[in-house]
Amino acid sequence: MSWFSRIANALRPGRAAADLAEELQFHADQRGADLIREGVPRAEAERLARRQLGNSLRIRESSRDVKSAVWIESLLQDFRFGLRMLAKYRKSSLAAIISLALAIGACTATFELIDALIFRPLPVAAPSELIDLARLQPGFSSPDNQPHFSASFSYPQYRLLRDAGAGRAELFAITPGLRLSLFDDAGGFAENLRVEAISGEGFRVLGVRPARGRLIQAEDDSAANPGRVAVISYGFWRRHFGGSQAALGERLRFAGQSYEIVGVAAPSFFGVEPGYLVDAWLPLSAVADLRTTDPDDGGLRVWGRVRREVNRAQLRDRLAATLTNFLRERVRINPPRSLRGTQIEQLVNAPLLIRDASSGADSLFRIQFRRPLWILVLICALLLLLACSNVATLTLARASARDAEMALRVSLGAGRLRLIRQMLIESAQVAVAACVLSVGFAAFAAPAMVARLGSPEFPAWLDVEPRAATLAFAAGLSLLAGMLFGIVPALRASAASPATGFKAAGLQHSSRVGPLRWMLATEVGFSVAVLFLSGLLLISFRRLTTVDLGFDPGNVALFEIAPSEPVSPAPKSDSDLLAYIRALPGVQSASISQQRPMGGDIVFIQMPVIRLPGRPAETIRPREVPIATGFFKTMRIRWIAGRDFLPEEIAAGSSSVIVNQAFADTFFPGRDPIGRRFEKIGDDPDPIREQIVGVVGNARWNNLREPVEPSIYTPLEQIGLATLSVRTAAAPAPLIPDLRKRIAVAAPDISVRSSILLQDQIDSTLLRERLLAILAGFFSVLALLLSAVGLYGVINYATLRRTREIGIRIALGASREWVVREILSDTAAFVFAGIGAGLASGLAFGRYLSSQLYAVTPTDFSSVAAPVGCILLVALAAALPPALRAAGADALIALKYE
Amino acid sequence: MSKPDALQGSLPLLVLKILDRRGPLHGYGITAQIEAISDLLRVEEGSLYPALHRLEEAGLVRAKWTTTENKRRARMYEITRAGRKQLQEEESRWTSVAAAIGQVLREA
Repeated sequence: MSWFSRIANALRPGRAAADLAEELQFHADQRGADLIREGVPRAEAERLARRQLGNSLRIRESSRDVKSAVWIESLLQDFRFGLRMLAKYRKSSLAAIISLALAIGACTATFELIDALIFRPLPVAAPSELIDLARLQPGFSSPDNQPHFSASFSYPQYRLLRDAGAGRAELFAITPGLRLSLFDDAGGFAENLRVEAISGEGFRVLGVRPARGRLIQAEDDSAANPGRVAVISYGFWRRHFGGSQAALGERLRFAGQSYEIVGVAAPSFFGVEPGYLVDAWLPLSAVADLRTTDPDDGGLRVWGRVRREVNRAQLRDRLAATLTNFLRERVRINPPRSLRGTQIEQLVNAPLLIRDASSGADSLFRIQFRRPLWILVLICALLLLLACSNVATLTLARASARDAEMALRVSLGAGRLRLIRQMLIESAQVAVAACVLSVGFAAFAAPAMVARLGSPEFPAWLDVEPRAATLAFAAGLSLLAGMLFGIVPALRASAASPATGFKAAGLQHSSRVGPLRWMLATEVGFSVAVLFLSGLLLISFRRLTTVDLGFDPGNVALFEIAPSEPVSPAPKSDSDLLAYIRALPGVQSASISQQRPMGGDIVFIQMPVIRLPGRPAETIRPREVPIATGFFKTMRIRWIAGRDFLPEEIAAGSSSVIVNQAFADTFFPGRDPIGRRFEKIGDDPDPIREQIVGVVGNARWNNLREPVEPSIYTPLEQIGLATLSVRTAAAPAPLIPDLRKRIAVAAPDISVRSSILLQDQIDSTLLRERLLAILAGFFSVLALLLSAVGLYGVINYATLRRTREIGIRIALGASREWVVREILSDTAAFVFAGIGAGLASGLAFGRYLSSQLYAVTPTDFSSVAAPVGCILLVALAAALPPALRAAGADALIALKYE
Repeated sequence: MSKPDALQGSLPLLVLKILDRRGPLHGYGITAQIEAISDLLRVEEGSLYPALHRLEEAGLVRAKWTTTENKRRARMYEITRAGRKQLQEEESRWTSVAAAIGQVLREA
């Protein structure tokens, strides 16, 4: 008999039983007929036949074991019974399912993000063969004192490496994402695109296929005859051309040059930097800015494909030797000014790394969000443990209430294994329901989180479509959770003995509540840990957003401006534009700075070496911010001494500088800095002699986290890419479109690339922190809710169990206050045990968060007081109603209760 | 009547042999055949049906419902190809074991 029929028999046990009965009946009848034929009286024959057949029940049982998968049958029974139980305890089942679904869903969504950003291989052929090159950079180290590797090579370096690796590895060059302005047909600014330039063989080596047309080929990338062609990404094609075939042959117009679209890349290919979606790729040689053959100035990433059988160590040595020879020659011809003797030798001999690039490049995005995402994983995991212990606690309380049922079943002969299985099936049903819900929740939460990772200017793009891995993760997690919260109640139920169950609950010794209380302590512990870590993130975010900026961000709009066409010389910064804008109605002041205020990590800021008279070069490098007139007035940075730049100083690029308070304190402590001179050693070969004409207050420049650094403000002569800041009398947002139009009319040689409110610009530097804070807030609320439900459930149950005892005590003269105090203190011991455990684990994990925290440490009073205070309030709120109810109980009713 | 213990283990062998020789039979027919051949062996129906179902489960016999001459539904059992193979093996093993035991009994 096949498995199929066994299962079929299990699903309809009645049918198989009827068949068997009929077969046995036939046997008995035949036997009876034979006996009658032999002369036995009919009644006697029937009796004999039946007796001979033996115990038909026994046959049925032993035959049924063979004919039907009995365990399936009983599993089905347990399954139906489980569903009945879930329906019976509808509210608590629903709470369990929803809380688990939220926790599992949060874990799953975070897993999807981490997978997409960090682990998932690039969607190209054989990604495990992909590599990229990097060199140790002497004299630099990242903030955590790790050696700093540079993945930036010059074009001549790339050519040399490619030729040296030929036969062993196929190398190609690709630029990091460039932000290029796309112009419409009329020559007006349309939008900023993320563009990468790639060498001719790049797409072939990567193994990307075109969705339409063709990709960039070797012939397109020739220095002599650069092909003006572009390949667009599938996403850009859909967004910009609606997925129309007509896109092929269209032209993309960037400043000064246009490129014919020859193809669309495969839908899955987003570029080589997870986190961003590239809009278009151009041939390396066709991009004017990149055709630089400066042998020392890099900017190219060198990628490649190395077959598995190639010895990577040998390849590395060969490439490293090539590069070292080249650099030795270069430093002889053009010694780098910023490095000293041994550092130059280190630069020449810096080790080269062949890195695994199967999952893409370490984008700024990945670097920024790696730690925050792992922190989320940590908190999600704690939240899941909290949800599990909450469900376990509730199930345990319910299981205690089911003691009588369990005892009855044990005394009717149910095996312990059967009881454990029954309880585990109930847990599994909760877990499966939670799993289904959690996948839905994650499908909604993951894209929402991705949207929060990016800013309008730099939108994040991650492929978080639900996939098999996601489903497997959610299912695995649910299974794990089901076992975690199912095992304790299951063991507890199986320990039921027939004797105890039939006694009235009130007569039982209260120690039976013991394991329940320990579960409660565990739950409080997880809750405190979640609250503690979330609290750190929330406090940190709060401190960041209330930090003293040193300027007033209200009512300031920023415009990114650039020359409409690449012209030489670039437009003067103190042209009539500023005067025109300042005269517009509603405008209070306006100025221009080379870098964008609060530009975040993407803005490059020069830090020149300075030398005071009669001293060696300083080790502390100040930040240099070139500005036009009226900058401090527009930003409302505090004046301390001296004066602003004069228009003629700006125009002439004079040697006057304005410094901030930190600069004055660092280099001229206790002395008046006005009129003092120093030398600035920047890009120019000769030092520039500067004279201080003014001192202003400290202002944050890049982001809110950075410490106040010594800064110098210098005159901004010409506009390359610069930021125009405008302070208005009223809220500037409605004025922005009008201002853009007026700028276009007043200064046709300048185009506005983008505009943003200064406040929004500040917010965009806080994406990580904001995301973490939002989620931390959500997790805290969830943690408090869960612990409230768990605490209430357990205390209520424990109090009900003591109803009779309390009734007796009240009858014997115990006061109501005594009852309340007794119940509260009964609970308090376990709550405090949980708080202690939660804080201990929170402090242990807290160190992992420290890199993301601002102005708060895990051991601060507020870090500890906030979660403890919250959980105590919740515990009190959960314990008071049962306590008051018990205290208000009528002694007589309480005694009759059972 | 005392029941030889060996029958418990050898009932499947007997059932297969009967089905092989006599063709398809219902459960009662098998009992009747065994009892007709041997006066000594009595088949307990309580053992027969579980044994039959186990043989069916193992694929050594197959069963189908048929209608007898007096219009009753009866379950007919028939030996399968696998059953024949099994029968040969069991039979030769039984013979050699029986011979070996006989030898010991004779010569001990």
